[in-house]
Amino acid sequence: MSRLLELDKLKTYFYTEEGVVLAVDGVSFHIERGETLGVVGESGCGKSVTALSILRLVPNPPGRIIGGDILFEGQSILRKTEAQMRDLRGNDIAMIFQEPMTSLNPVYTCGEQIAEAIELHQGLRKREALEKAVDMLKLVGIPGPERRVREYPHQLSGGMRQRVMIAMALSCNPKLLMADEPTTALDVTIQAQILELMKDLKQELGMAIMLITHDLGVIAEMAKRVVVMYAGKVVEEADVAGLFRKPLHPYTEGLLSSIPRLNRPQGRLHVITGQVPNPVNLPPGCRFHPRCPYTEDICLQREPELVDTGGGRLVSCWVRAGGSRAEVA
Amino acid sequence: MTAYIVRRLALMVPLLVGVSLVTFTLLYLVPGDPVQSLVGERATPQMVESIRRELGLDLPLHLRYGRWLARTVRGDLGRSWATHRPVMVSLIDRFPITLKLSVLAFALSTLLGVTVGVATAVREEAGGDHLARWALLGGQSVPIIYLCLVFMYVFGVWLRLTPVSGLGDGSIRYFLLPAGALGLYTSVYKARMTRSAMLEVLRQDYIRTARAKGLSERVVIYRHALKNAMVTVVTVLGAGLSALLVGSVLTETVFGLPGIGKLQIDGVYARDFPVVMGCFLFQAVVLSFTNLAMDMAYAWANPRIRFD
Repeated sequence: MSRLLELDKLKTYFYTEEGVVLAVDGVSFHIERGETLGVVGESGCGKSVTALSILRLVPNPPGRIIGGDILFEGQSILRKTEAQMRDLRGNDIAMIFQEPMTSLNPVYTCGEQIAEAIELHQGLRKREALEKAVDMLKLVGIPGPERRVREYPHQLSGGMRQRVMIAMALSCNPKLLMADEPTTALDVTIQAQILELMKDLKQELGMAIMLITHDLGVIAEMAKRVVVMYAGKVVEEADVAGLFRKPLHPYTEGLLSSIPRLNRPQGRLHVITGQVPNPVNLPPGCRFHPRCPYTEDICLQREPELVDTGGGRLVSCWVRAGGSRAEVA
Repeated sequence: MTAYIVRRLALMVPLLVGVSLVTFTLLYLVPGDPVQSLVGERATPQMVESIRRELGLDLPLHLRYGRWLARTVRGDLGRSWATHRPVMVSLIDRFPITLKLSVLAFALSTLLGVTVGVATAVREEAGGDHLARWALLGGQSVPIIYLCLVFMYVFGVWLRLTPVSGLGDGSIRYFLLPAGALGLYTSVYKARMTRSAMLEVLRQDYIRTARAKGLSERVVIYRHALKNAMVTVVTVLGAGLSALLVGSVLTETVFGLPGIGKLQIDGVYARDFPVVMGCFLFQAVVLSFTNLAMDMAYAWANPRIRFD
């Protein structure tokens, strides 16, 4: 059976007045059925645009998918018609967003909003769909679901709203759930509850999760495999244990050593020097080289490829992936 | 909810007293002698003086207002000085004309305004949007009188589709032109408001959520975006409806429709105090009720609003 999702050198660019933003620039990775893949990187590295590209919901203009391919269950998403895409969205692939406070429509009840997707994709009548919405609210652990289903989003707390979003996303049993920073806007205890909930539901429903976050703690908790993105590119791919034990890319290394440790005395917190590059005017060669402590001459001249170093570990770095240098020389 | 309505109705009493006090004083201060315009040039000073006393115009302001208020509270708005018809009868006669004109114009302008507003917001930056925006700007810059005259000429005189002016037998044909002109004129700002409200709403996160659910663009726009945009637009619609209901002086005058606006402006020219006061009071009542109705509509559109 084919892989659930496969991105092949996906390129999504934004054509703005300041210039072309290479938001996603040749990103390749895959997700197996039932697997949780973590996608990490700082703001603006292209994580969210990658997810929106998979749903083909990148706002156009200014954004456009200009190259590469996205295969879902072996079929190219980019070649589907808009009607076929609508069948996929919310049905096979669902998404939850970072901002639970603004992601629900304020003028419809939670029940109406969950039922809407069920009516659309499962052909249930409104009454049956609303009953299913109650079941979904129960599933995501909202107390008093019969009452909550008739309430408006403003009557719920942030954590509750994110549960409603999850209920909505899962209401049609998607094969892939994309969660874009699902816990960033929530406080820490609620964050833990939501992650726990997503874990349980994954066990129960067996969908794959693409978890987008900048929080390595969340990744460690949830994911099996990780993709690290920097400035629109994948710089490293690894299993979680391997990544935390021995990060290969200097950027990943920097990220990991920036985490404050409670069990170790520490003075100043480690930081990655410099700033995220301007996406319109990226540095030549390796995009990370201005901030990298190991920069060599070649890093300034040529862009490194993502190279397989064995054991499912991929890295795009001249210094750390020795094999690829021979070809250049 | 009921308690809220009762409270709003109770608040109307001080409001109406205030409105009547202000308008009464203004009328008192207005230059021009009402008696002179009633009796004409050739009346003797004795005649003028006796009529003045008869109408109570020789009394000081507070006594005149007191007398007017005492009568009005009993439901008697008095008689026109010029025609001697009871003011209440004139208002009841003429309101249906204004109402018919208002409802037609309001329906037309809302339909047109909201449709154009949504269409231009959705096709933002497309050629049609620019064209529509220029048309809207043009529409807003043309005075209503000019629009009325153009309508009269084109549809009434040139194409002969409708009567040019007048009430005729009161059938709907006689309202098509004035309602058309008024509707087109008032649709302009509704279109602009709807457009900007829609543009604002379409950027919101919940629109992305709706699309991610697999809803068609039509459902996203009309079910998810428009209802949110209406929260803002309803206020404008309400103000527009009240403005129409209190009588469109210019349109009614140009088209010779004997509505409230015409009654009022004729009363003002003749310094016919009872008629003018009756019109103002009536308009204040109509405004209060439409505002209340619009607040109800606002609560319907926006579930975050609750009465208590």
